Amino acid sequence: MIGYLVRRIAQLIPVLFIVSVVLFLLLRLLPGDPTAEILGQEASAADRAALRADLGLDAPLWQQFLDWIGGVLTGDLGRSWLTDEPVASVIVDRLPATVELGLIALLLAVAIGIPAGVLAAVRRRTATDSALTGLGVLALSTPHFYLAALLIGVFAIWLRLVPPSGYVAFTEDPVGNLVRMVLPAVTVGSTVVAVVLRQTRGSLLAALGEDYIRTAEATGLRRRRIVTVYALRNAMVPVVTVTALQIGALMSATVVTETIFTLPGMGTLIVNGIFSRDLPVVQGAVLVVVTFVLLVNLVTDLVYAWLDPRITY
Amino acid sequence: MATDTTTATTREPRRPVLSRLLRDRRARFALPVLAAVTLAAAASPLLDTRSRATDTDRLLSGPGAAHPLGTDELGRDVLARIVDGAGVTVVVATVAVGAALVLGTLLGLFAGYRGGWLDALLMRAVDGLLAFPLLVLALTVVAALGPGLRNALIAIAVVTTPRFARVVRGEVLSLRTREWVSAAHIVGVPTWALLRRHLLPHLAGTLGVFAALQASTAIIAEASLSFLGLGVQPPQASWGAMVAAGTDHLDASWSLSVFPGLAILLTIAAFNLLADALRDALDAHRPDLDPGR
Repeated sequence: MIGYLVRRIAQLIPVLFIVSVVLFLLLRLLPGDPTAEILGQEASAADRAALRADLGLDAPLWQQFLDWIGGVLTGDLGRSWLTDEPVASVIVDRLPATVELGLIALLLAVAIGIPAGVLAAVRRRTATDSALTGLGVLALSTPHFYLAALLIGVFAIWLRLVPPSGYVAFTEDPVGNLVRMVLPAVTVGSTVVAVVLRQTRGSLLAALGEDYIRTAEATGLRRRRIVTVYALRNAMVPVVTVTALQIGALMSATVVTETIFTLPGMGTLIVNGIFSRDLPVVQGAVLVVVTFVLLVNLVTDLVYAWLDPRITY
Repeated sequence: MATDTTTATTREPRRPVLSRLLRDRRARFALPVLAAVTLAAAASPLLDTRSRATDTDRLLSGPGAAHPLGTDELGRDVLARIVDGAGVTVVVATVAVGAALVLGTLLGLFAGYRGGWLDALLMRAVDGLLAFPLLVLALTVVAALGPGLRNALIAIAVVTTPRFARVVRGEVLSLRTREWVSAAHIVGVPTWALLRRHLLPHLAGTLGVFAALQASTAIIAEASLSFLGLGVQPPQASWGAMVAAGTDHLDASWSLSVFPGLAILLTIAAFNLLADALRDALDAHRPDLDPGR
């Protein structure tokens, strides 16, 4: 197991390196002169040249990359071109909203998706199954921004149950925070719920077809016990994996959702950074998001290997 | 397999893929929807231009006789704008996904068949690109190139290409070991011809299903970019941008974002269901997950 762990972490390093090269090069393609954006169009050429030197933009590309990556390795993600704040501390400020949103969405998805998937599998080829499967397709086909618009329209503007947007920190006002998190979390969780439902239904049906289930039936065990204790337990392994692999999709969803609900998270940080051409912020925030996704995938693989004793490494 | 012979008469596994597909309920929903979107895209240049003109006398009017789906914040007819927006969706599904399909297939074929250091190098690059959440990578590409439809298409092609490469490579790795491939190789069929004539036809089914799924993802990505203001720029119509405009006026007009969003939803659902139906139609002998009771 230790050897496997070391090997997996070793595989992560080249991927992270490629990610940082891709990210760095992509953002250097940026057309226009960033110093003009910062100083305004009427700044003198000398001022702009001074700022370029100050920001390290006059160095060759490879040196800029080494400077950046060297900083990243020591936890220094550079400074925002717009506010001069350290990027790392901006990100730390923005993480709680995104992490909370993601966690609540995931909880909702699991709490609804697994029972719904079990129900669909047990009532296979009935109206219940069709309805649940159909709802799953509907959820997978609804873009997050559209669902968000519909939810705001119905629950915030028509029924006036929740505020349409905004954020308060959980530590300041826990109830206010949760009330404002409901619609965003439902939005982000909608696609994950569908994936969890599909996977639960599929793997439970597969598990119910196994020989040991027939044996359990032959011994006269109750159907409910067979499903919940024997089949579901084995069916859960792929569900855990597939759910965890949704983390990338979840991050994509939070970008859009945070923007609509004006939550101060990583998504709005990236989108606003793009609009204001604040390169170091976009670069740092995207790198943190990608690293996080890769780490979750790694942990998922490890948990999977640990859950399923048939896997050898 | 005694049960198979009894069901064979109803299932008719020998039927060609197309006729099996046409008998599938999901395809019967999906194909007309996609045909309607394509038709709308083709018809939009022929449409009466007056309905798209801005008109301050009819701002944000709800659905009615003159404007079946109402008018937007500039008084333009929402139905006409949806018809115009269909063009963007068709371009995304054909041009962006098509480019990714061609490029990804070439890379995947090459990497999978050649193997060795080239394969290792290409696949690490693919891993690196796939590590980005899709929309985050698309945003980064748009950040680099600037907003606009053309750059959004490039961004979508960039995020989709590694996905095709990964799938094709996987298929090629398993096909490569088959006897008929070795046989073709031994009798001296050139690599390029072998890939094109012997391997590619076997990938067609997988590629068709995967392309339909990627089309739905690509349409969501474009709509999301346009919603964020980084894709299609006004005054050009795009369903995502229309939903965005609608969310600014939710209290004044409920219908403004509902209908363009519905157009996106139906198109995406159509591609998802088409992919499912196509997979089943191609794969008639697939062992059913049904425990058989």
